[in-house]
Amino acid sequence: MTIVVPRHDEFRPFGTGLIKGLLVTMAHFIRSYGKRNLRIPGKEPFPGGRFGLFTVQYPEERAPVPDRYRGLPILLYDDATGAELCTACMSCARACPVGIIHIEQGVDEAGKKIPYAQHFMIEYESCLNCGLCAEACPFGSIVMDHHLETARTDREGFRMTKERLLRPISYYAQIAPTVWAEIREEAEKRLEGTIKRRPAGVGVVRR
Amino acid sequence: MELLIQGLNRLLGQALPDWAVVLIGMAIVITLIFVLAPVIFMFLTWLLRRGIARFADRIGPNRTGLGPFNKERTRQRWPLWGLLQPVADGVKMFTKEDIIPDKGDKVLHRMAPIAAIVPAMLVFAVIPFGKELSAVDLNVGVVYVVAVSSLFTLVLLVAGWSSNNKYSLLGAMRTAAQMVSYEVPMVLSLVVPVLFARSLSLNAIVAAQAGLRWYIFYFPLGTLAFLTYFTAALAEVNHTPFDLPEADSEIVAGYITEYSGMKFALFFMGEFINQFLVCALATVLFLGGWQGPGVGIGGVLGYLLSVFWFFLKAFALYFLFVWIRATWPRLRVDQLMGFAWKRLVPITLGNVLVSGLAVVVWSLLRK
Repeated sequence: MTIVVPRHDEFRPFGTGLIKGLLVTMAHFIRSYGKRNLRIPGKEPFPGGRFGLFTVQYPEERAPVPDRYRGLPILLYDDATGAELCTACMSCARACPVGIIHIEQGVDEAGKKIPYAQHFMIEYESCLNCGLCAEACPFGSIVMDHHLETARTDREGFRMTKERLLRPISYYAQIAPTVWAEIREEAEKRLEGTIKRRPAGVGVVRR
Repeated sequence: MELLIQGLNRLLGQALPDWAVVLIGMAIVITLIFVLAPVIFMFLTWLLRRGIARFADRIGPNRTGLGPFNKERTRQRWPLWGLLQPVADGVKMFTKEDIIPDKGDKVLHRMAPIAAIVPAMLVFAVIPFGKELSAVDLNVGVVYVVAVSSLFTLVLLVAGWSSNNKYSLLGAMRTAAQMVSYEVPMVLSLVVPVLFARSLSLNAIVAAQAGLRWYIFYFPLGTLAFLTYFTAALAEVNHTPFDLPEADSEIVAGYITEYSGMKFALFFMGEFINQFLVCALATVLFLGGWQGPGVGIGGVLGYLLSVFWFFLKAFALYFLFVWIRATWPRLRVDQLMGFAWKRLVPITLGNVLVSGLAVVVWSLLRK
């Protein structure tokens, strides 16, 4: 059996390819002054195809971040009641490959452990942004934020205590609606149970 | 130059002797050239960066420049398209560490970057930037330009040798071979407009092209000469597609591998000014120099218009350089030499022969 490979070796006048190339780049040059070609969430990534400016002027403009973008982990609390979703189950601390999540479970007056994290600290400077903590969390409490600009000059600022980690659910539902829709039902059901097992007034964010 | 000295004579002729007036005139012209060259260099780099960026669907430098420095620099009001980016680059270059190789030739290593801009500056002396606006009206202008601008080759060899680095030396050897090869077709294509104008003076050549009788329109001889000149000129100034001396993947940065800081910038200055001079020479010899609508007007306006047309044509040609740079890939070494000696030299030689015959026949017919 013979395979015929098309070679496109018909005669072309000398220099055609050079001129063709020049025309291609000129088309890009001219159309770079036209409509800009930016990512629009929910639509195809680059609506203008190969043409138009792709540049995003960063500090003033930001490209939209996908819902599942893994920034740094944060903790959630309920908007209406202010109840923290975290029950100090240690799943995230065990899942963390670098061991930077430190949790101390709270106890009531009798010394009995309650589903509430007395102290919760993440060392942000060592975080790998792997998202394993968020995957491990059965309560939908620890999730990945979309915040990117975390650089700072002092090391102490990276020791993120619970007060600095907590965000309302509404915030997360807004930045990552698809992810929240997946874990929402489970999280809300478990939160109800958690609130019942906690003494009144414990694990509630003061606003 | 004569114009300036006449003006100065009228102003200072009573107070100063003649030789002092001439000296003052020369000082003014030299200062002008020394200011003009770096300014042109600055805006060539700016044009190159902005142009290449647009060809690649980017914006290019747009943060530096005069403009509204309000705190929340809004999106619509970028300060003047980054026109002052070259100044920022210059400041950066001055703050860089200046390294001289331990085992290199230190004196030559220091001298090479300075010598790199000298031939470029020297050529400025004879370029007619406008009506009666050339520093010296040399009657062998074309020969002078060709002779002086080929000094750059020597400087590159010095730079490559003194660095004591195989990449530098190889880059310098390549450049020298390339420049010597392409010098031949370039000079041969310059002969054609000289034959047409029957003068070696750049001013006379421009004067002969008055009223759209530009030599690029002398089809096919003048047009062919322009094309061969442009091709050879691209190679002469190491521009894409002939930028082998700077082929990073093969010989790092070529002859400038061991240079840093302002010395590095001086080499680029020499190269950019050479690129501009090649464009300027093409403008003078083929595109009618400063000829254009309105240059016949008396007074200052005519002079300004002639300068405007000259720079418009030269920068349009430079834009063609940018366009080519954004498009074409680089040639191989063997292709480069073969193209010069097997294609360009025969074509240009034949062109000179036919042009000479045509000029003779034309002058016989007119008698």
